[in-house]
Amino acid sequence: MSFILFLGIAFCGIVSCVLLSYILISYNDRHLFDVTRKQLSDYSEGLSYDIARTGFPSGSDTTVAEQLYLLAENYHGRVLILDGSLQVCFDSYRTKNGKTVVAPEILEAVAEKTHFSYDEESKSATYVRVLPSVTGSKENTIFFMRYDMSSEWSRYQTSRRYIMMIALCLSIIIFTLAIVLAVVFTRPLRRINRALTEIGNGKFDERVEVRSNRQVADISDSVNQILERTHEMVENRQNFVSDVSHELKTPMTSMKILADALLNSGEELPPMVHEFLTDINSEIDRENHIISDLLALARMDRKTDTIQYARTHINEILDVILNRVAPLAESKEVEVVCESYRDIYADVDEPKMITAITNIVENAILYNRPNGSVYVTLNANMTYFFVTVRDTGNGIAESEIAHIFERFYRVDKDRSRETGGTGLGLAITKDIINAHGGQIKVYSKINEGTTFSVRVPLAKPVRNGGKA
Amino acid sequence: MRRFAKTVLVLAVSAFVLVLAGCTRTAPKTPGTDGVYPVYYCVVNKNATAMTRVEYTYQSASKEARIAELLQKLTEDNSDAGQYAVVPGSIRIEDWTLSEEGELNLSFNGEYYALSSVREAVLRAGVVLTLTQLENVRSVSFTVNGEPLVQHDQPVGPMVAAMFANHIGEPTEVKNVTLCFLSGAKNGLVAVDRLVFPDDYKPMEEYLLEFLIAGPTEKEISAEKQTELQPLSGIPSGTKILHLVTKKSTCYVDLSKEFMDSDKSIAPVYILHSIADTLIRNFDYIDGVVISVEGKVLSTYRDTEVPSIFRTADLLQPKNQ
Repeated sequence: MSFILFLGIAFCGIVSCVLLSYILISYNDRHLFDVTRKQLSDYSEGLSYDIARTGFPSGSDTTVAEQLYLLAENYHGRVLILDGSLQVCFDSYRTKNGKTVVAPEILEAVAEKTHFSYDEESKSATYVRVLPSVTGSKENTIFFMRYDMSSEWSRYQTSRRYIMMIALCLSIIIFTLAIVLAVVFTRPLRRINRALTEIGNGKFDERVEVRSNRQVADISDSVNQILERTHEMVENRQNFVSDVSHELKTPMTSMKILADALLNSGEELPPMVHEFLTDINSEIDRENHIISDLLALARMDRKTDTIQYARTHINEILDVILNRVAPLAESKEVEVVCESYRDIYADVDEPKMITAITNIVENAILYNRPNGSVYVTLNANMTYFFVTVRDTGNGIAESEIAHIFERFYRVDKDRSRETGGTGLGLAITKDIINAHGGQIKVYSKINEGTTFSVRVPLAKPVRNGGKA
Repeated sequence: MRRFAKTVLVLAVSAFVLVLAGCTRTAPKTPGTDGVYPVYYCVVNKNATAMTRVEYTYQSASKEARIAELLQKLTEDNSDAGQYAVVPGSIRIEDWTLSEEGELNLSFNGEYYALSSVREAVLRAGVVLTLTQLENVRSVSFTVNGEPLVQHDQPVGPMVAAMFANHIGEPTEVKNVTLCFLSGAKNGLVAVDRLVFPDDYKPMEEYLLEFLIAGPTEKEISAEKQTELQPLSGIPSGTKILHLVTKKSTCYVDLSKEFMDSDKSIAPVYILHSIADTLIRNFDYIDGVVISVEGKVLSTYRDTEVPSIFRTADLLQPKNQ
């Protein structure tokens, strides 16, 4: 966008400059010859009257000859007067007097009534004109003048150089201006784009506050209106999920107590009843698990459950997680290997971070192959700490990767039910990591495995609210 | 060894001849290197608004046949090349005669007078410039219907090449000029006559001053046996003519500042009169010369007071006969 704007401004500006200099140079070209040409035309007009009055060249009146000598001197040139037979009656150089001159300039002037040419080599101009007859005589008189234009030519060249230099300077200024304008004009759009990217990442409470000009302010307002409505819809949905989960939790707890009471009553139950009760109990557990996850998500969404930052030893967190998943790994015959490169302390909400990373590690174990491995690494730089969890499972198809953080999305529907997942684990993990100002990324290859990479800031992020 | 010397001599002479042929224009008829004069005939364009020259090689050897060849070319159109005859189709050359004195007379039919005055001038120029190239043709005269050509009720008479010019700057005739150089003894001026054929792009006065600044030729120096009378240029060689104009019998010469750096052993009066006398002697319309340097009229020259206008002075050394 900014490049196209730059190209547009630069192209229009430079083309205008070139056009303007061309017009000026053409005007200069015409003007260079026009002035003297007009003067000579006027002069020769008057000369024909003087010739008629004095009878030049045969008369005794020398006024015309003196005038012509003066003209030749003033213009640093040569003046010739020829009669209708092309015989020279007057030559300011006095060498061609009485001679018949059949020069092409003169012959052309006789045919066209006038001739003008400029010789660049000698920098002289030639003006020839058949003088209008004032006495009604059919005999023509031809006025020929060749004059020096070197000083005009050098002035013309200088002005031409100036025009070109000015055009060049203007082009450079326009070029620079084009860059500045392109950057300035597109800055608000870039800010809007940045704000929209943030919103796209799920931060619906962000608002676009770019007001550099009216048009951009209008766009900001329109986007904010859409956001407002979207935010309301999201909030309604979250409230609904939260309320439903709450309402379901009490009867489920009662059902759980009743099922447990029946199973632990000590009475001998018919085998079928016992089996059904056990199934009911496990389904109630699963349902409870889902409800807990939903409530956790709802709390995250509504920001009622804010992140409680505390300086935490991340290596210890990892130990806790690994201990927690060890029985699961053992049951699934999956080896979990952890590698931490240094002691890392970061400002995180410890329980939430444990939940987030546990979800990833548990997934890596659950969706692994028998005798597979899970490699967990922990590293950090000056700003972030990184946790990567690589498994040797079946991998996730590329088309599925974009959806795995969606709520209730399952890659392998049948298998998920067997593994007992709720379909909310990764959604919760992503929310927690994002709430910490971090990012989570997935790389996967079918039949080779999946790698989750988590990046979390070491220090509590400072939020500016996305304002521009 | 003798053969080598001979070859060197032949080469040197050839080079000298070539240089002369290329640089000097002391005579309008200069033979080519093969000893044959380059010949051309004049043609015009379709509208007769330009006359050009076309090179030609004679087909025959006798002078009459050559005249006939050129006359044929002057009446022949070559429209494919855009070349049209100087003598248009309506005009017929009925007869021609060459006198013992070298005057070629051409007889035209009565249609001649139907030509416009400009076209007639082009015809005359083309015919005269073409035919006077022949060594045996000194002048050309026209008769129309057996009567001599008249113009403005005056007979035109025999015409020579010097009466016509194809271009404004074209030289038309060889001129004999007198250049007043300094004498070898630096106590006066010596007059040197020279035949010149300069272009006509500048006033003749300017060409003469240029000859004066360039100095005498080797031939002119060696022609005078007495060293004290041998010509010498007193004007510094780097001097340039900035402006020259003749007004009311006075020639105004503006020279560059180099003119002031002349040889101290030469009295200023000789240097200044070398210029003034050359101009006054050669042009009867000049009787005074005003010299200025870089636009400033000289009142002193090398600490010597000088008059503002120079008239001719009796400073010429008598020549030994």
